[in-house]
Amino acid sequence: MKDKVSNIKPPCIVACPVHADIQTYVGYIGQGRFKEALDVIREGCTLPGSLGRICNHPCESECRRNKVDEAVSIRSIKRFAADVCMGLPHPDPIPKIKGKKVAIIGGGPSGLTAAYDLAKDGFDVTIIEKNDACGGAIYTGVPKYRLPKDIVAWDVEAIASLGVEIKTNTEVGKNISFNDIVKDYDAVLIAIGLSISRGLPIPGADAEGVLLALPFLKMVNFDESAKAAKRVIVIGGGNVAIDVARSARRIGAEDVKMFCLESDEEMPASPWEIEEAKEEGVQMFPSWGPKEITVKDGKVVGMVFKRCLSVFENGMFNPKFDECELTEVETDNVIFSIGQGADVSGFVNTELSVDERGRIAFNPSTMQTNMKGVFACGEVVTGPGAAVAAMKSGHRAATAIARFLETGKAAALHLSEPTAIGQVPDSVVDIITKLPRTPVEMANPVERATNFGEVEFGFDQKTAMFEARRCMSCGAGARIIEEKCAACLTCVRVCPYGAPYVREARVANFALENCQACGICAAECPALAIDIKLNIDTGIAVRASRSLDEPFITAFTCQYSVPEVLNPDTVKTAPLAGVNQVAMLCNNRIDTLHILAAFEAGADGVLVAACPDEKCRHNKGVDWPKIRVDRAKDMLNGIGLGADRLEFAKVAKGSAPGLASAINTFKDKIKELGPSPASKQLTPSK
Amino acid sequence: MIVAEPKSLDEIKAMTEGFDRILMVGCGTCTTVSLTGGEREVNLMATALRLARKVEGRDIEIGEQTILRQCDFEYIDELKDVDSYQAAVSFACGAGIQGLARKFVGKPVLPGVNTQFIGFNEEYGYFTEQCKACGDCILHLTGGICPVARCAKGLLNGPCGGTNNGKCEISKDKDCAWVLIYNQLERLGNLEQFKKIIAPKDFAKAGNIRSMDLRKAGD
Repeated sequence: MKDKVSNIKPPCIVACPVHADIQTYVGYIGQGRFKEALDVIREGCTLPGSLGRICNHPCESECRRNKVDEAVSIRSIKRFAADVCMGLPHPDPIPKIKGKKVAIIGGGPSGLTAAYDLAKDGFDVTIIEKNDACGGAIYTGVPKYRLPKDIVAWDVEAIASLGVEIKTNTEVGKNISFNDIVKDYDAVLIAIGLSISRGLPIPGADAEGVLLALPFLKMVNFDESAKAAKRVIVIGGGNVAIDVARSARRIGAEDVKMFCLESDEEMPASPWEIEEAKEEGVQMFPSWGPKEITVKDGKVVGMVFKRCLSVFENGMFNPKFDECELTEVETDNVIFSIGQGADVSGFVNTELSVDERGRIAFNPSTMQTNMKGVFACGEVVTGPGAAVAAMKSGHRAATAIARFLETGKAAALHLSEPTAIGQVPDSVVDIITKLPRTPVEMANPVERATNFGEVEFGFDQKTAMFEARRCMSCGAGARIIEEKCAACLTCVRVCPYGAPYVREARVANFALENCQACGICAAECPALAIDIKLNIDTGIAVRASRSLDEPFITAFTCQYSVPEVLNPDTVKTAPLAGVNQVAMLCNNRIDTLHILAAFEAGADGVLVAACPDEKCRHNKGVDWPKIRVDRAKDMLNGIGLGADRLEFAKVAKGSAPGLASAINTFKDKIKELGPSPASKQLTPSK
Repeated sequence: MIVAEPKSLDEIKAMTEGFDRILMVGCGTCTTVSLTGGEREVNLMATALRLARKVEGRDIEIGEQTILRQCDFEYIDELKDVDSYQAAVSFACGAGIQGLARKFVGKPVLPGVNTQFIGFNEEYGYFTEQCKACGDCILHLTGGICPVARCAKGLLNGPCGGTNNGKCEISKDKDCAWVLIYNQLERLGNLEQFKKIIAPKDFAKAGNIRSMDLRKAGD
């Protein structure tokens, strides 16, 4: 089958800088396959515990559910996948079959990501990290109330467990020379980030009580005795400034004011971060520019601001001020959080080139610096941004390095970018079942502002699975196999969402934007010419051995409703004894063929567990599973197995006891009926 | 299209009683569209028959192949390994079944469906007869609605006294074809046509052993 739309992806995946396979892992969470979900997450997002907490989640902004009700809570689902698997062993080491050594200078998100990819590829990777642990900015900068240190450590351990060697407390230019690294390794990656905070050369900037953001955050993170003055002014409007302000509140500052050039709407910090800071008592003063710091006896006593009229001109940073509108504010501390620069001191007196902004000069197409075999990635080349954007750069660098080590030269990377499926049409929005987003619980603002406990609580299992099932599986639905299509238009007639349409070339075509992946068309197509791309069908198991005591049941369950009871062990996904669970994407996909195939595979009984009519998100007046079960019952009577061996149960959404009791009652019934007379011979004929 | 209904599993079981290696052949045209003879139905019936035989304690080997049309030899020739089967079950219309039988020399070809009529797909899974293949079309006189196929009595000059508020006396679910014809002629502004008596049809044209030879036209 020709898949003409193979590079059209759900907008969440397109929006994610690393194009994490969100649809697949969210689907796995919905089915209770947590470990598999985590494995999928790691391929794109290499630090799932950390990013599950702090990612700025562009995926959610683009989620097509926004138009229907609200975005799927993708970040919190990712956090759940990491948290629920934290007790499991880390991945096994990967054999270093490539026989080439790569040094990565800097163990932040980009360096760790490159390490993950290269180790997975079989390279021998060493991370050289100047701090006492890896994580970079998310270790030294991001405060504990957003991201506890043990979570970062867990993410790093998982990468180390692949066989990546990590040398901590090793600073290039101090404990080890850059030239030696270049000599000792086959390739070098510089991923040192932007670790120097910038200040402003205004009057009073050198007074006692004037601080810079990154040293302040580092102090807050690692010095438990850190204390702030009573009144603190934070200069800056980005997420780091917010981290500074909220941290200051937590170490004793009672009066925290944030001043930034940008207007309320222009503030670069994430809106939810601004909101949370306000809840904690941080006051915002947008559209003010720093003029001077008032100093008395060498100490800060206040600060003067001038009105900022505009920040950008033609897209360039070019602030305009009204020098006549001034305000003076008393304070004990001023903390600058206005930008960061690279610390390239470890590379002085080497061949390595630095650009006019003080960052490492590199070719963005090959990721190589001016030195052969020396590459760079992350914020030290891209400038400041989100952790997930740094990861993208890390993935690119790993690809570039792997090619370099395999071919001996750096080549331009041409990595194809996916395009997103269009919005859900208005006509379809109206008929899609509305499922409100599950709010993420937060600690009480008054209480949380006094300590460094995590402010956000993760989902529990039930919530995570429910939230995951809100995913609309965009673009994962029907694909027509043109060479088999009989042009009968059955799909056009049965689709509740108007996805198939007749086009000039006579056969039906599918509008990806409309398709909701219910599977109705695939189960009705008389030519078996429709393929469901995301068929999370785990397969109908063939009975391996025949025990006369215990019935062998195949249970078809709907991913959107009821499978969790079959996975009582949250992580191992162990099925119930004697029950072969087939998790369909939706039970509207079940066709009579599936049911007969289960009997042919040796089942003594088959249970189809569907949602009650009012709960089925795709039931638009036709009970498709029932129609197919009824046909199968007729056939079972003709076959001689009897309709009693097939049960159709409507189980309330998320009702574990309901499903468990339906299965157990059915098992008892099948036990009484005895083994299937059709499973005497266990080799299915073809 | 030609509409066919499925045969019961019991009937297929009985027909295939003596065989343990058969070929089930789907037809990718009319019976696929009428949802009874395509790849899905072949697969379903084959699975059901295998299970039924297992219940009886024996095995049957069933090949499943679907071709584009069974009323063309060239497509029938695409079937594979036909010699290795003892019999074939065709899920095509009567024409296709006989086409297959002419290729399956010396072996039984069994009908998998009951051919019903030339029909129209009203909505999903619901087909209505539209044409009796009478060989003498008068649809130009009846507003595009065929009284031969759609009037219970096949009247050429209706309606009869059994018409009842637009429905036929045989069932309140069936439209009276002659009311439909009247309404359509009215819409066409041609009720004059309704007053004209339609002469009896030459039903000899619908006789048996029909054939058509277009090659004569070129003589």
